[in-house]
Amino acid sequence: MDLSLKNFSTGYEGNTIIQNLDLKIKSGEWVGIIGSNGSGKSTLLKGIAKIIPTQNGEILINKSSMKSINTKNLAKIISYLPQKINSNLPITVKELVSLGRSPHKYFWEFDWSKEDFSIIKEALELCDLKKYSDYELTSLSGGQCQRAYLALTIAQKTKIILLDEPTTFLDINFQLQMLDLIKILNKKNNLTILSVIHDINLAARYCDRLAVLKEGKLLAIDKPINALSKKIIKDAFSVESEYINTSVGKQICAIKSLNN
Amino acid sequence: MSGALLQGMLRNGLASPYLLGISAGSGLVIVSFISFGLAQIFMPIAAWFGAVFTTIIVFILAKSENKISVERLILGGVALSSLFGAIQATLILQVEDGRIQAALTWLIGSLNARGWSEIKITWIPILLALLVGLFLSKQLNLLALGEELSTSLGNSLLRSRCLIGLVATLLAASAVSIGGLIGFIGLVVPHFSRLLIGNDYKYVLPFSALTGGLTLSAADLIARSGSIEIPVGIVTSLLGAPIFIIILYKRSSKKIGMN
Repeated sequence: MDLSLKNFSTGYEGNTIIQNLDLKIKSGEWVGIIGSNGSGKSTLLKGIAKIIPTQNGEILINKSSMKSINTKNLAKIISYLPQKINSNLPITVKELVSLGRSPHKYFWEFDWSKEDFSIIKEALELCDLKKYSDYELTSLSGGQCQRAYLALTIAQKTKIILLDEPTTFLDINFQLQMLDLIKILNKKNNLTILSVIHDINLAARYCDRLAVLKEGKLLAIDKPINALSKKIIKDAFSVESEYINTSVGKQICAIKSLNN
Repeated sequence: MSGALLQGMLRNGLASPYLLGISAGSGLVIVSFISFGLAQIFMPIAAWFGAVFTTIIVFILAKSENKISVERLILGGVALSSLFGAIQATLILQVEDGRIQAALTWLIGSLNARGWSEIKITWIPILLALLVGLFLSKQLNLLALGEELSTSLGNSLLRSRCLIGLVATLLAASAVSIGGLIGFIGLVVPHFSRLLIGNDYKYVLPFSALTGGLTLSAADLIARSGSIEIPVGIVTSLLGAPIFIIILYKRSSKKIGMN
């Protein structure tokens, strides 16, 4: 599904953070959002997921406006995984993942159908969690827990997925595993993905395009190689940077901060 | 069940039906009735309305823009309870001795001389709320994930919190209008249920409802078995407090936290 924002503004009560943003993401595309702390990356995702209210402009999905859609119907189209996930919940992995089916259930429906179960099983398998399905969340490692939450998002079966730093608390090996997994989903199921990724080199490696945010405005949106020019990096992060050539392509190395 | 609903909604194990002003509202109404010597037959209905109205005020205080804030619900409930408590205490100090006794018995909670006639009106809201309440397990399970994730899974915070609050209030207010402010059941029973059958609200809710009823009946039996009948509220609090402490210790040793 295509996702586009038109003149989109959002933020918190009395405080506009994302201002008049225009953005178009094609079906099946993975766009990474990068930018300095406080540039509005997470706010943008929350705004699109309508966790915080739209202050101006609109969100369009396949050209139809999301202005008056209710929370439940939106949850069938867009899923959102926040940065802060609760790894301390006293429920099992399977119970967590099965909650992904809730937007597809009516108020009076108690139980999951056969179809639900197969979707839950598939999500668990994709995330390599099958043998942990009866483990409590509290007993998992950070990487497994993050995968369990991704499986929850997968079980929601939406065509658009918003991920807020899905690799934050993971070591470098788990970071790569996680991003590989998201790439598979992206390609195999033709999912549209918009994700905040802190590490700009990883973002450049995995995403089709990068959106660079600064103070709630879009500085650039382009193929990674163009979006990460030294000039744009300097504008967005106030750092001097250099390139290093590696077997996975050019990597950016921040050399020095330009503040003070 | 009312306690389980509220503990799930507020994601706080200390929540009980009395936190949102149910006790304060009905208590104030009852004490006013007793101290001004108003018609006794209307007391249960008046207590019911007092409880429901107070909770509605608490919810209105907690509403902001498009959601219900948990912090404001708790703070509003506490503030209103202390305000009503003060008025109630003033009233009690003013009345003659004989009526103090009646007011206190009600505030402690007693099932003395309560029979089928008390159920005649209240069974409608109780049954209705029980039925709707059973269907709220999905919302409660989702709320445990946190506000953001719960919203993105299609659970509107405003709608679900209002609905859960309404059902919990109806249940508690109906119980209070019959038995008075019987303590500790709403707080302890959900913890006990979770300890026994896990954290899926699909099971916690009905189990809490049944265990709550059983616990109260058992406590009432104890209350009546002495040479004089003591108010059942004293029994529930006397036995409930130590049981609650034991449950909390068991829980913390298993490292299972609500948050």
